[in-house]
Amino acid sequence: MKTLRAWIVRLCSLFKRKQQDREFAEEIESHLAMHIEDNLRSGMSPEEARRNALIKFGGVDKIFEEHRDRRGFRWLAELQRNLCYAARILWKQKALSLIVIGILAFASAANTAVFSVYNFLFIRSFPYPHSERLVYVGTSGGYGGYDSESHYRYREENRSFEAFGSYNPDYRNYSRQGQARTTSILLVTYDFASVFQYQPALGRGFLEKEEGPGEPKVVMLSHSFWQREFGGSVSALGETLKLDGEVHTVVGVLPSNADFPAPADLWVLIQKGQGGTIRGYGRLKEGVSLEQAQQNLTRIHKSMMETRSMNESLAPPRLQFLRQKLFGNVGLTITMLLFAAGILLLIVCLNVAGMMLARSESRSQEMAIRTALGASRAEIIRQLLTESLLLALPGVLLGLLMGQALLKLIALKLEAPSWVRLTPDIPFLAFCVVLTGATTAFFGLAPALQAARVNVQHSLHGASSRLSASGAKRRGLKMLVVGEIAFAVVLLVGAGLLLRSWQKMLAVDPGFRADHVFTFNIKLPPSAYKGIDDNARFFERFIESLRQLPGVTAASGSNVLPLGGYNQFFFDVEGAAPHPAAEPDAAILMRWVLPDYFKTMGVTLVSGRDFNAEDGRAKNSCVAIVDQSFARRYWPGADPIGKHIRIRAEDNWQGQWRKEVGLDRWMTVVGLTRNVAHYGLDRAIEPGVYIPYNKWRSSQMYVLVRSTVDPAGIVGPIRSQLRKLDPDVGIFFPMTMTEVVKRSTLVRRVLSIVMMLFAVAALLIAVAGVYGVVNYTVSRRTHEIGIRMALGATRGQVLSMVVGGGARLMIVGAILGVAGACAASQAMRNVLFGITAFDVPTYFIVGAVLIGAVAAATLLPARRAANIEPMRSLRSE
Amino acid sequence: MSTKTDVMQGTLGLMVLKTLEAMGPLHGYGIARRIEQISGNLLSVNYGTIYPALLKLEQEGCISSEWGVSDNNRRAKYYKLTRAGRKQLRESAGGWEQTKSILERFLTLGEES
Repeated sequence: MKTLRAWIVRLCSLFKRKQQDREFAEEIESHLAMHIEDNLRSGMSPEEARRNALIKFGGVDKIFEEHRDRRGFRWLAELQRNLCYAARILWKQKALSLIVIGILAFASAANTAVFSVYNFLFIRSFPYPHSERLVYVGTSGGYGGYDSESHYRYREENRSFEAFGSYNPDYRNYSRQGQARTTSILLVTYDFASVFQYQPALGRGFLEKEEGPGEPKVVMLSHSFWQREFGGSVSALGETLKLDGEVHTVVGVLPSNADFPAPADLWVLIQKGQGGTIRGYGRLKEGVSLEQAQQNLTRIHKSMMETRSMNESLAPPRLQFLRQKLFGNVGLTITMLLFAAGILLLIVCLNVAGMMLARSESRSQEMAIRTALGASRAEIIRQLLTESLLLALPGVLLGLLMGQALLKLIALKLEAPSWVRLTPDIPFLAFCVVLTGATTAFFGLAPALQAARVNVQHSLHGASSRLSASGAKRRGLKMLVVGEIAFAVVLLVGAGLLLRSWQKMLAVDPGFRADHVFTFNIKLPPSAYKGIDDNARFFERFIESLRQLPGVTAASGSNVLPLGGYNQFFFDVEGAAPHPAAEPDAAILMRWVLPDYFKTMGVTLVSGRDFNAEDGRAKNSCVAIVDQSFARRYWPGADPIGKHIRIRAEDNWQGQWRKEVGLDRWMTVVGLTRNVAHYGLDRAIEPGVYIPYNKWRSSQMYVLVRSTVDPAGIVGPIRSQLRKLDPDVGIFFPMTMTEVVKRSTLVRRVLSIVMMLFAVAALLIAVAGVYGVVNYTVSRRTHEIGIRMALGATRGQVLSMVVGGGARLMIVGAILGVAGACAASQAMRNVLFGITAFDVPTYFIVGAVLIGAVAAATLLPARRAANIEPMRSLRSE
Repeated sequence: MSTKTDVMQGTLGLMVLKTLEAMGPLHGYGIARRIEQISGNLLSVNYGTIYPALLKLEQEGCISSEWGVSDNNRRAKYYKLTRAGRKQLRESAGGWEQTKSILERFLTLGEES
């Protein structure tokens, strides 16, 4: 306790040193005065009295020093002194200091951003209670989900979950007070909110009994929808709104963080037998493993399949932890970025170390003087460390702030939902600061150690030091630069490979012409459109009306857009070789399309004919169009026209209506089209089949319009056409096909650009390093070059000597870098597209860029060297 | 045998505390003088060394100080025992008593045998 108090007092005294010095001086003065007075009184002469008092007191200076040490902390005072001195030194070399702080800030900003994303993806827990036990329930194969009947069985019979609920994101035509709009909804079971423990912000959640068929339909409003549509008023409770023509009653408002698994305007309760294909989330009971839960649900599924009819065959359940489900496929990408950011940081550290080293050289005389005056090695190291930390910390802190700002911008741009939290937590922040600070301090130490080894005699004889120019130091500097170049080459090659992959992907012929195609989704309210015929009649009329619009050259529709995801079935193929049992059967992409689809989408019809209106209306037969990939797979070398295919019987989902449209029998192939890169431009092409639109029961469709005018100008007329046909139907997801394509390449684009940024930064820093070392060498060798020129060396010889020095560094660095890049690119193989890891053009371009950059960096100092006037340089001694 | 002894580490603080208890508030010079007198000039103390000791005691809260005026009208810094100081004095004095009696016993034991 007493010691603690003493420490605090001592700490405080740091801030009033001057005052305390003055006070103590006064105290000593008064002490001596009293002593002298006493001595005088006892009969000494004034001189004697004074001498005696001083002797009795002991050395005044020594006591003063002791008192001062005792007052505060010696090391703290020293640190304070070091800091002041370091600040003065750094301020004197403002430009250099700012550059160091700047590149440190940049590198640590990149690191903060990437680390924060990594932290969010793989380390940080989700903002839900016991999120480590949250499990996603989908299916393996099939539609990826199950139906509401399965949900009830899982819910009742499972012994694994504390809470379990299912959902299905969907959208609806929404009208309130007579105005039709479109809205996103989440179909949920009553218990879904309990999985994430969302508490209603207002009103109540759904009740189990409301799931019963025939019960009044109920919805909960999202927080933002409540604010937007109801002005946040309590009177929203009990209000009704129409979704696809059906009346729903508002029972509650969701909290603002209820945007997981998907942000939606409304939550709509699933009633028995509805909801479509749903998926689930569950919170495992404590102590239950994922495998146990998986076995549990699989058993329930099996027993359920025995009692349910074959027609409703459903895929078995598949469980995944939340993190795996959400980010399972971005691991490689983010790991690459993490490595890239780490390498960038390393380059920066090497660069800073180089600068410190070069500077310590120019200060060797100062160090020598300090050593000669009695500074210990430890003191010099402390001083230099203080300087490098004074550079590192502002750089790192600035970088952290910049990284944060960058993340905020990203989150804003991506309209990230509330559960995406890219802000780092405190331990993580501390980790960042310590990591970056420690790295910089470590690299700051190397020159410090060297500086501390200064040979006093040598350095004080300035001239001799200049001639002998400490070779070890220059070697160290060169090694650092070689390291920078090597790492920069690794990054350049990595970024180059990604860019080339991106370029290759953009060069892929998607099989359709995206330009000038505008698309949107419409959805017919089932209350007004009862069945396939009603739907088809509307779609045909609507598309026909669009064809009449000015500027429209073609219009059609389909249930799935190109690049729009999976819609697969198993097929029986007439005349195809029997399928080997060992291989999994090929799932065939199926698209229902209206006539003119191929013309509108720009897909080439190779042979045969397009669908016509009659194909759809025929009730007892069906025709199909296949693509070249399908034909090549099943009928290699033969003409597919006139052949027959059939949807496999066990895939006979929801059998009844299929019979009605004739989808249960053999279909005749009437046309052959070119392939479409449906699963992504950089993905393999899989076989696909097209079927007339009237053979599908769904009430939603993607409308496609090819026009010669700007899409922005065409939306208005389309809306008014739609309103004329049915005012209750709205437009969902309006976009151009160009946007669709662009969105599908987003990940690769972002990855390539970010990597390129890192690589360019690395190159610039490395080149600055080369410039620094060559420039430094020239300035140290001015004298030598002067002598050479005086002895007859030509400017060209000097030029090539200096450039050659830079080139040697580059060659060694490049060799090391290429070796590193070969290893790194092997790890990247899975993200490359269209090229191998040893893509020659990439290496070639990187080489050319490197040579150009290094040449630029060496030519400037080389020219300076060549312009040295021998006489002047010799006189400058 | 030398007639003057160096002040043992740690005992100076105790002497200061005891002096202040006996004399009331006093300046550094006075304390030093007093310690010298009490020790019968056996203790060789540079008067200056009293000041770091005073500073330590003050930092620990055993004494407090303020500027005042001496008997012959001179400005001087006066030190005063605090309550914590009194407690500290009692404890240290007790400790010394104990040490002293133990050592005494040891030494007399040696004489007897």
